[in-house]
Amino acid sequence: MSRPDDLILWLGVGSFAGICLFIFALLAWFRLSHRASLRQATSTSAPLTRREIIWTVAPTSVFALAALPLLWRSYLQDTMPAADVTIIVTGNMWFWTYKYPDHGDFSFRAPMLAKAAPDLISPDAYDHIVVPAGETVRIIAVATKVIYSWTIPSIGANVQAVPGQTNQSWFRAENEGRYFGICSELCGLPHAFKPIEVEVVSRERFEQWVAGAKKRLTSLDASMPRRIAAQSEATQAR
Amino acid sequence: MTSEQHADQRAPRGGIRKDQLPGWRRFVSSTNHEDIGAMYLVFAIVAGLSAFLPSLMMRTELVAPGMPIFSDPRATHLFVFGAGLIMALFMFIPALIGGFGGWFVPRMIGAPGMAFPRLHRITFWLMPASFALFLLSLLVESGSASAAFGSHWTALGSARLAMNIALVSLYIAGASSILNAINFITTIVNMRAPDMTLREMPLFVWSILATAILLLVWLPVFTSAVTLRSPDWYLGLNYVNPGGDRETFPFRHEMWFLLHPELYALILPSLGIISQIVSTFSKRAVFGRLAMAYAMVAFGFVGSVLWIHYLYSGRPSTETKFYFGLVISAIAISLGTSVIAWIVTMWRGTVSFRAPMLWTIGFVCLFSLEGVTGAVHAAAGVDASPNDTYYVAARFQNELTLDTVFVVFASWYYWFPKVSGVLYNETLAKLHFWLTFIGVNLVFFPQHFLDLAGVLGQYVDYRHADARWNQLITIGSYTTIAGLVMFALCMAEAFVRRQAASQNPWKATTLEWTTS
Repeated sequence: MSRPDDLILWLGVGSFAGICLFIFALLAWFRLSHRASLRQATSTSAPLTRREIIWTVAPTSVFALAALPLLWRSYLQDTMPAADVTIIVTGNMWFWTYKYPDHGDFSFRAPMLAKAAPDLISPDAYDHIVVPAGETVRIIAVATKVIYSWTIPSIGANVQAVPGQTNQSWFRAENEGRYFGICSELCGLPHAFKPIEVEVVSRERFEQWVAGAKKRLTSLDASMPRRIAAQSEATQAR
Repeated sequence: MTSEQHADQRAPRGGIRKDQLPGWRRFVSSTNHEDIGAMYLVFAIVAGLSAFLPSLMMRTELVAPGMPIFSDPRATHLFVFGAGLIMALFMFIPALIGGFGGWFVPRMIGAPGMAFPRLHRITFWLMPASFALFLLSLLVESGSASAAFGSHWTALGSARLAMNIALVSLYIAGASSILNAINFITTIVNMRAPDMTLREMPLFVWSILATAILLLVWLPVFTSAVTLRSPDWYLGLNYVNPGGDRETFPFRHEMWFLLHPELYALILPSLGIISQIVSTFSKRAVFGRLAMAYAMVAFGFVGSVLWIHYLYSGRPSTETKFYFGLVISAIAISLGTSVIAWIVTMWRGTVSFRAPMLWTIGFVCLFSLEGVTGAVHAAAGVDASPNDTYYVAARFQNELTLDTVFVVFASWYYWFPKVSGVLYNETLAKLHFWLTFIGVNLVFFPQHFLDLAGVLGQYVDYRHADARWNQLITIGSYTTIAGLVMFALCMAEAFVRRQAASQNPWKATTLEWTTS
């Protein structure tokens, strides 16, 4: 997430924590000061309308204040900047396929995991996608059969791949490094075993990687390591 | 006075009362709303325990990185969804609507029974059938060779025996809910005591009325989507055929069109019950009673037109997001107002902290916590990122398993003297509350932190770095077991000691305590 997002996130968390603490404090105060033993029976008459209005207007204004920046943000989210790199992500039962249409139109398949832990992701060259740092990456998500969600929390990417629909989203990763995610829409029982990994590198290294990938990935099947082929045969049984 | 004597003293009410028949035969053939309510409650307890087992296994699995318990990692997914659906459909809905609603709504409005006693009976007997089919769907093997349990738990994709059985189960449960809704609406509208206007109805009755209207209006949409799915697979109807020439769009929207109101159907009766208990134990009328009743109806209405907020990351148009973001914030206003109404009721009241009141205050704490996290979830601008993540999982479980479990126990202890005729042990009930309160917070609160750490959803394994929070979840889960043991002890003690309850032990003002 970039800085303004962080600011909004923590403003939100802070104000909501404040509301919660206020309510808990009220409850704790009654616990201490309003025990039945300390009080005489109180009147059961209806309270004043004025107070009722105050208690309705107060939360309304809190949410009116919160709504404006949030609406502005959803507008920003849907405004697509010019993309430097476009990647087409396809959800399959159960693996991801990636395609770089503007960089030679090569595509490859990311393998399933033998065990479900991001620690264990294998370092194979074409298991994951590579993007340049500080540039806008457009993700176009499509799917076959069921719904998937291509999610990487640490760079704020979350786009659903829905059959019969083409969704797009974008992200810009400022720092180089490796980012991990897992499908976040239940797409069947092997749902957790198709990891998502993005490697963010400098522009030069990205160009090198693209050149190498174009040369080697002439066809999808030839590039597939043998163990992946065996695994996907088992899961593709139907 | 024992419970039998207590039961004998009750005059025969609406429907056929088979007091003469021995044991189970009385219940099986009964059309009496109290007998059916009792069966609903027993059914809910059985379903609740059977959902607790997989959730416990799931959380025991989290005790260490790797796979300490499960041999098939896919068990986690099955248990997550199995336990969740069993709780929502076969524990909460039967307990709150069929159980407490069926038992107390006729009494609260001074009616001799439900409007259609036999309809009431069939709504109950559909539930065990539906439940059995649902359990079967978890056990059948289908699809890929190594799946030990029902595989591919998703309604899209290709035909799977497990999913077909589950859909039939949902269909039957839906039929039961629709019949129940018709019955409740008719009873509440037509069978009130002559001098009771709609405005004078207790808040619990209002909440059940709003729930029944909600279910009656939206369930048929869901049922039609479910009904069209299986012929689609087997007869080639092509109503929704992803990967074919059709979009999943209508199917998804029809599902959420119901499923969102269904969540509100779980929380609406809770609002009514909590208002009732807060008022009783504060010895004061609920602050803004009528406004609360209208708020519940408005809540039900607005709640049924904002389903898209689960689909934000499916990229709806910007204008769509504006609309849904604003409308769901409006929901937060009405809920915030009701939390404040409860607090103000306690403020000017004379509060006694008996067990039902403790459960109620626990509910108010968790409800406001879940409310503020919900505000984040509702905001279209933020929610595209947390959509479908652990944050939503944590929030949902907070809302469903925590809030509703607390309401079920609050109402259980509240109406226990009325239902059984005996008193429960206050100390054991309070221990039950504290153990559960600490336990569930240990289970669900760390999930928010795990989400911030970038963990997605409920998976069988996790990174070593996340071990501490996950172990807390396991510990919390076992603390709730200690709570359940206290509950069992409390109930056993109550039925062994049989200390007779007075007619109206809480000095409540609603009708169900004054009629015997």
